[in-house]
Amino acid sequence: MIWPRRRRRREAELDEEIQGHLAMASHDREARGQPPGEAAYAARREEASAQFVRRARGSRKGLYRSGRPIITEEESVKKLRIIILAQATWVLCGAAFLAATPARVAACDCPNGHCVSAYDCTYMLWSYCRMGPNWCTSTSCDSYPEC
Amino acid sequence: MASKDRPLSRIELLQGTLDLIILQTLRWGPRHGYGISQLIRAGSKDVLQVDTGSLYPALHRLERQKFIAAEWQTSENKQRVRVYSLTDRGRKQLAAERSKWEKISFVIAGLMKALPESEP
Repeated sequence: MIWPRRRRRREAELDEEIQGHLAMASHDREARGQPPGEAAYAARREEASAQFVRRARGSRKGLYRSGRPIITEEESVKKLRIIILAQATWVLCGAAFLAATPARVAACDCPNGHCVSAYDCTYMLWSYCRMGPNWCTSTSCDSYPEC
Repeated sequence: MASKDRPLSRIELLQGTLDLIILQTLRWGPRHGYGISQLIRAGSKDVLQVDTGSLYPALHRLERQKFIAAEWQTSENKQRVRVYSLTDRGRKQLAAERSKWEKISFVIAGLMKALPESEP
């Protein structure tokens, strides 16, 4: 898997590398007595162009069946990005829910620690307080006249 | 079989063979892409000519496999060139590929000699 930014950098490097290659080939031909324009043209024709190389490299990326693309690299990167974004959203929502729940339970001073909501906690406090002072384990029971 | 007048095209040159040739060329020291292609051409007495469409994908593939390492340098012509060198892993790969190649060429040479005699 190659990220788009890294791929662009690689392609730019490859372009520079091939331009250098062609310049050296052209320079060699000029040194052998060929006119500059002709030397550059011959070097380009013989060594193939950068575009061709990029196409040759690109044709291997992606999934192919009988030479036809099932999914290209660009499509797979786009799909993978959507999947990662969806997964990250779920993880963040889950983390936010888990982070918020204990805080809510702690804030209502739940006596048995098993309450999952503020309503549960209030109901539990009220029930314990009704059972008598021995059951009342929280100072919050003071707010209930039954205690 | 190609004649000496016509260089072998990249299609005729098998991919695995090209990797082996590149590794073997880099055994003599670090070189840039053009240097590698010229050395291959000169070493094969102009029989093998590797164009950029085959050479650079092969170089980048070998670099990804960590058989060779690349580094940007400035050439004598004040031109930025990417110089490739053989890594230890590449040296081991070259030794392995070379022995495999020698075995195959020995077997094929044996077959070429043996077949006409065995024919009725």
